[in-house]
Amino acid sequence: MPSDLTHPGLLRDPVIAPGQSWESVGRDVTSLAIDRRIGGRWWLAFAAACGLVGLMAISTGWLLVQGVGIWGNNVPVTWALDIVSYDWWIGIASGGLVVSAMLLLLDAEWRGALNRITETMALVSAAAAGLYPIIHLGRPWFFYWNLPYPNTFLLWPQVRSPLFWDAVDIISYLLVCLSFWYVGMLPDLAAMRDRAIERLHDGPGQELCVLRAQLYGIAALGWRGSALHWQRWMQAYRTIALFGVLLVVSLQTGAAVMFAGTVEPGWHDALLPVTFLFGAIFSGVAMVAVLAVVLRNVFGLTPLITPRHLDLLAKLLLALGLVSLYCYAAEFGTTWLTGNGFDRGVLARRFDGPHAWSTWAIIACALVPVHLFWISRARRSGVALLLVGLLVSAGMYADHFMVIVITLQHDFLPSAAQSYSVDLWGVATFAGSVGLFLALLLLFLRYLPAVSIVELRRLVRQGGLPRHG
Amino acid sequence: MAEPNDPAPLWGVSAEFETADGLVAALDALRDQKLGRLDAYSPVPIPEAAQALRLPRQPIHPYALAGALLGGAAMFGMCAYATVWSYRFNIGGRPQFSWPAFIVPSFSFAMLTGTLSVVLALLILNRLPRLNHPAFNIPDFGRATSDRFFVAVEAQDASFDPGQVERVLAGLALRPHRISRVSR
Repeated sequence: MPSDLTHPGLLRDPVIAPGQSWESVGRDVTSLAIDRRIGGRWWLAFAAACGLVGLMAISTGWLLVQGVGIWGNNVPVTWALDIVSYDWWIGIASGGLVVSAMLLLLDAEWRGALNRITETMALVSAAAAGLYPIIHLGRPWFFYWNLPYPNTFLLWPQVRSPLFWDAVDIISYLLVCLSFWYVGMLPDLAAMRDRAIERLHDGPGQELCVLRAQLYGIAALGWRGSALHWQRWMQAYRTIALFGVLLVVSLQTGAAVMFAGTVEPGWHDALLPVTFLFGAIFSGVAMVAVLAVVLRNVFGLTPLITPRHLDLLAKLLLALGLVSLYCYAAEFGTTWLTGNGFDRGVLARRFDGPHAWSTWAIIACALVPVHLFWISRARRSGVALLLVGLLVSAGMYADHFMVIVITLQHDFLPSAAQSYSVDLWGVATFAGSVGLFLALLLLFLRYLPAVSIVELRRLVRQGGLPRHG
Repeated sequence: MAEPNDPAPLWGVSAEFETADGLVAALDALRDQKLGRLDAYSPVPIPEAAQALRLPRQPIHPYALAGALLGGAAMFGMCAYATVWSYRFNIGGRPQFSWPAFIVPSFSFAMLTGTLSVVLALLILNRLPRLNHPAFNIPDFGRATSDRFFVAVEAQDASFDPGQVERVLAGLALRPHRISRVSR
């Protein structure tokens, strides 16, 4: 992008630290997995994550014994932390996929350092999300009743129902996200294979080294970097990116339509599909910002993830925060001025009901802190980005709580209103899903290329030809 | 043509380059001589190499489009079949063919089948997975995923003359780092 290069701010901060070569990029990334530069701290973090997964196993076990009542769910609050957490995870997943894919389609060269962690986050969050729709069913062992399968009753699932849409959406999302991640990683797996072969040695641990090289070799599918293969790979990667973006739009706007398909007040604003989509991207970018800072500082990838990346992520967060602010203001304003009594009742409870904390948490955690990034020094500060990223993630969790619980606990008749309070088991299940997310992420960081080697190499001027954007 | 006393037949001749410029120059020099099937191996995609090879444009997009359209139509058709014919379920006299409700799953499913056809097209057209390709016999080929570029001229028939290929490669202005005969 020649116009970019004339910008003084960007000349000061390149997208990759100077002095990098193809060989050094490959070494920096592969050695994380091959040479195990991260030892004790990784095990500590992995043990903690596994502990949380254990908590999830216990709470799921108790759930199967007792039913969804242990979460505090009741009638009318049939959706509580289970669907709040599900929406939050799938929002982060959607945001990650859409950001990585859009930046690929727009040829943004700075994505190279972040696309792998973004796509991995999307995949792993989708795995954490995928548990909820199954375990919240009450009788999760019958989850396949949602799918059209030949059965002796000659029954069909209700294909007009959002339950069916959701099942199709999440299955499609998981497979599209997995394909995008894996196809993008294929050449890097080949690089891992070749580095693992380089490290083969005689003596103790030899069998493990051979096994490792073989596993990377199988995962790389025999990729050899042939010119024709590269040509098709670039097309395939970009095409899947396009499908991914469109799928996320379908999934998030479809979710808003699912809400609108009910008669509940507060779920019918025509702007909600846009609010959902940008809310998802907002939370996804926030989580990417957190992971980018962790990767940069804990895993020592400062030459690859530069202050310019932090700056761009901060700007993206600021922009998305402004979009979200517009969406909330427009929705609240329209409801206040022209909404019917039930809608305005929901609005009043959002600001002054038993769960009003969730609305104020959105404002305090998601909408206000991003304005720190009007200051350029804050945009380059890893600590600021980490804190704001975590706050925005928390704020977006509160958003799903506000949308779902405040509407459900009081719809039309006073007699139908019932209070809901967060139960310990609901929190335990959510903590377990966080543990699953972290455990899968840590496994990824230990065994797979955490940063895209190919994308970074394309940023390094080497090999005689001008670099290829 | 196999060397005498060589148990494995000859696959081709390879040249290793330190720069992409060298790779592209070698491809330009070799292309019109029709000495054998040419291929280039590099750590990153090099559009100039694809141009120099005169690779036929084989877009993957038709597979993507066909997969998406077929999948979307199949899901829409299934929803319509289920509600209109197979399992009629009249609630309050609402229309049986309630197509707007089928749009979300059909669109999402189209994105899924489109993606899966792209992945399949990528693997099948590239003949992957193939773990034992003769290119892996090129000396130091591990660096093709690091910082080296390789050209291979593959023997296609008995008229293949490795000596002629080696002479062309050795005569290049940007000299290859190494020229090797590669067995199958």
